[in-house]
Amino acid sequence: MSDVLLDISGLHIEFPSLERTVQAVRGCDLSVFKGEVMGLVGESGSGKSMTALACLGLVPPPGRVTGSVRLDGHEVVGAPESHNRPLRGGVAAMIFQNPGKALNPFFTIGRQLTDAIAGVRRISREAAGKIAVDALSEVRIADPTQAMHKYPHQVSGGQLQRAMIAMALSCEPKLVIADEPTTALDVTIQAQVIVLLRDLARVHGLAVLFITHDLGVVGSLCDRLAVMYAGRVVESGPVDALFASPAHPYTASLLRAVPALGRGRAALTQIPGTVPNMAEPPTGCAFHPRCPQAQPRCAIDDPMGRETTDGRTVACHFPLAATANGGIAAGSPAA
Amino acid sequence: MTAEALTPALASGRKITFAMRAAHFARGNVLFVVGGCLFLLIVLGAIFAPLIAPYDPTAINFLDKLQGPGFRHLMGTNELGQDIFSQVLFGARTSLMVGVVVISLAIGIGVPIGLVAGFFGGWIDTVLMRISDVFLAFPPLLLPIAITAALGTGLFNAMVALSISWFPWYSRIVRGAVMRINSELYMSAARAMGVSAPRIMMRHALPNSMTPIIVQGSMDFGYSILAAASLSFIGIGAQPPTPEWGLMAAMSRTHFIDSWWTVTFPGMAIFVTVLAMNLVGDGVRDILDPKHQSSH
Amino acid sequence: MTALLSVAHLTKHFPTRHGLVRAVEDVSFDVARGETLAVVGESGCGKTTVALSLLRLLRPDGGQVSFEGVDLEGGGDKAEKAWRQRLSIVFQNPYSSLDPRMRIRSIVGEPLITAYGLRGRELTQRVVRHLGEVGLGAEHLYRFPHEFSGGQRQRIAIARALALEPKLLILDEPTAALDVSVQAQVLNLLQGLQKSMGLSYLFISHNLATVENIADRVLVMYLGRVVEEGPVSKIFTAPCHPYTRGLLDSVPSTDLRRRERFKPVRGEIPSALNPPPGCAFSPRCARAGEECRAAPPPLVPAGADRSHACLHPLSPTG
Repeated sequence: MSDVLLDISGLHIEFPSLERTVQAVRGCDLSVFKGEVMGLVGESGSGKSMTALACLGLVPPPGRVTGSVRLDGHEVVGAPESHNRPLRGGVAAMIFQNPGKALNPFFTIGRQLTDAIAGVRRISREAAGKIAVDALSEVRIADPTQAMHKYPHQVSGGQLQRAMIAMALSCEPKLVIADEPTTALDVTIQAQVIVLLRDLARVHGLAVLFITHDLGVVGSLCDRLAVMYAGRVVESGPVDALFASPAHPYTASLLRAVPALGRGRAALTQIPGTVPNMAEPPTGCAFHPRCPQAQPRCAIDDPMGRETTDGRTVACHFPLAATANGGIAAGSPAA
Repeated sequence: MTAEALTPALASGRKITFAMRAAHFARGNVLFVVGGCLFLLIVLGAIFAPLIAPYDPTAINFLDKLQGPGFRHLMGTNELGQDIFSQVLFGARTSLMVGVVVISLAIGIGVPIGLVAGFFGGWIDTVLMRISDVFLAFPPLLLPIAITAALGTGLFNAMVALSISWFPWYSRIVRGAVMRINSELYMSAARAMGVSAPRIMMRHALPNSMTPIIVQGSMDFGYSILAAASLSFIGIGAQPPTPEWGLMAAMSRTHFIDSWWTVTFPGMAIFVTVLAMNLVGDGVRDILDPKHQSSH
Repeated sequence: MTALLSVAHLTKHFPTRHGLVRAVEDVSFDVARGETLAVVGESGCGKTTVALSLLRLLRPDGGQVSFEGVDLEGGGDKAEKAWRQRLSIVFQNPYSSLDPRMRIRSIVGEPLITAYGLRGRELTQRVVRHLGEVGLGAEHLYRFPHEFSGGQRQRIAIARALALEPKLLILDEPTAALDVSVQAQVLNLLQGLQKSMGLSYLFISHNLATVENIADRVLVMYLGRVVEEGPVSKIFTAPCHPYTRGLLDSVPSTDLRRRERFKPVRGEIPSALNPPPGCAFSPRCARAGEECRAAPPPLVPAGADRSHACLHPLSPTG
């Protein structure tokens, strides 16, 4: 397909220090198409947030980035700051987990929105103020004109996150990168924000890269999904196919290890061990010490991601057969 | 290709020696190392003063009075013909003792007060901290001068006076640290298990609030030496014939114009010591500050 | 049979600069032997205040709490000490609940030192036993918390909670701070311990999927009050209270068939400083009428083993 908006290939990010080099991302391949909602799932240390930062050239020092990130045709990796800055906001905007930290407590929400819009779009403050009110009403803030005059501490976490989404949208980006934007929110508010993002993506034809550790959120929001483990995408594909018959043992185990509503008291299949230390990632396939299907080869030979049917990729020497939900179908209610 | 680029860092498997660790540390903390070396030099000078000093620091020799620096007297002599180099060396003993005693006493008074105030909060906190604030309300040095005047002059009294005027800083630091620690879950866990308040304070609150105390203590070490020297300079601290840098400078101040070395070398000693301790204090703060730890 | 833990009319108010916060208002529940009762709700619902009141880390303003039929109040220090040995807590965040400057032996041993004055080899043996119960070996005794992963730290916290051989454990979102791939380990461990030791759990959570997996009964709280209570199997399949329904419909799921059902409740959680009159959920409720705003609806029984506080309940199919 030619309408690839974000194309990450062979991305490596490492943080060197004297004793050990932390390999945050080790060869990540990922693409996001125009107008699709892509979920990027991983646990702590999987490198999902670093990958997101790399998309906008925001990896903090002393991080070393190699490989390629093409955002709307522009190569981000290795490009000078002057080249990357216009991409932020205009082409891709970012939403973070903690909206309270992203806003300045001393200025009203309206002022910060107006400043951001006026800055990125180079228009007058009056025009920017109008756009800001529109943006706030678009994210379904009850009284946008009033909300403009409020300070960040005067509104709830859910409203703040809406304001951040409004700020991200107001510059009319093609891609929104959302890093765990609902993790800090209450369940009912999280649901509202998910539905909001889903609707906004549909209405504006916006692409969303939604980073989360929660498979459930992906199930309620995303079209496609990439699962990261130890700095690499181990499996990707359409959400329904991937949930129905996961090919990578990690995805399959994860789906059976996380409690899901409607499954009653069915025992959870636990994954042994713990997430790897990225200063000393396991040899071969990083998941092999925890993998129920691991063979001797997995400890030596690092599997590369390869394309399977219907736009799915999997990085495993012994992928689970994608036939007739053979015993690995997860997420389905018990009988 | 990219996988190849990574391998040298990963696969080199070089052994990390102690020397490499030390070199890495020194590169990241140049000023700390400089300060530490200076301080070590001063400590060594103080310890081996009897061996290094060419003369008895208190021996009076009028034949040699007010000699300039030279081979016979490295830093010259004062109006009594005493060797200034020897006095500076022995003075280091006095100054280091002053630093240790003043800071230990201040920590000894201040930390328990801050610990109790921060742990219990409420009216206990209010009372204790208001009492501490009284000591902070005086201009610096005025309070020690007043206390020394009341207790009587002398180096020991000067040290006590300095500790009394210094402890509220430690109370405040510990109180702040303990209030922050109070919200940690391990404090709640200990309370929920019925662990007694004194035990929680000693086993949990105190060890976890030591970092800022160590930092502040190493910074204040130099300042307390400076303050004690000031008291001696104005005549209410150390008394002759105690070799003390502030006192040496005071005794010779009438000769400063014609015999600059009499005042300059004791002054330099104070300056170098305070500088060294400041560098060490800054370094300790950087090392102990969790935000500064690069490898985790 | 009397309940193990019985809480009646528990009330806790916090006076603040901006007014009175009714964090917990007239909350009653029982926990039977070997049972898991889940307390669910969103922020500000009072679930944590309930836990802290039971642990005597907060003094409730009203209500009775009794353990095995013995009232806690008025028992003096001795009763309080005995109380602390019968129930303990596992906190949400194992990164904050273990003192970073203590070794594992001292952390797990602390309740034993406090309660029995154990020391030396005796203490070591007990600590090793409790570490074994949570699947950790004796080689960890002299390590510091930072040497462990999140899942292992939570095991250590569980070992500490088990040290006094309590009958009831309060579990305050014990898996919320853990990586998803290790949550199942901790949940399975907790279920195994319950079976082998006959423990009762008070499981505090906002994660309904986890609650469904581990709990027998559930107490749904909203802004300091109980809105619905009963067996998990019944409440989660056919809730009476619209809030419970909304909560269930807000849970994102890996089951794509539920995507249609995914339907958030409108509106925000009201401020506890300025709660709406009557039923606190009424401003967000599609079924609310004038009478809902008059007075908080009382908790009424609906069938033998469940109750709800709603004037217009959804009809339970059970």
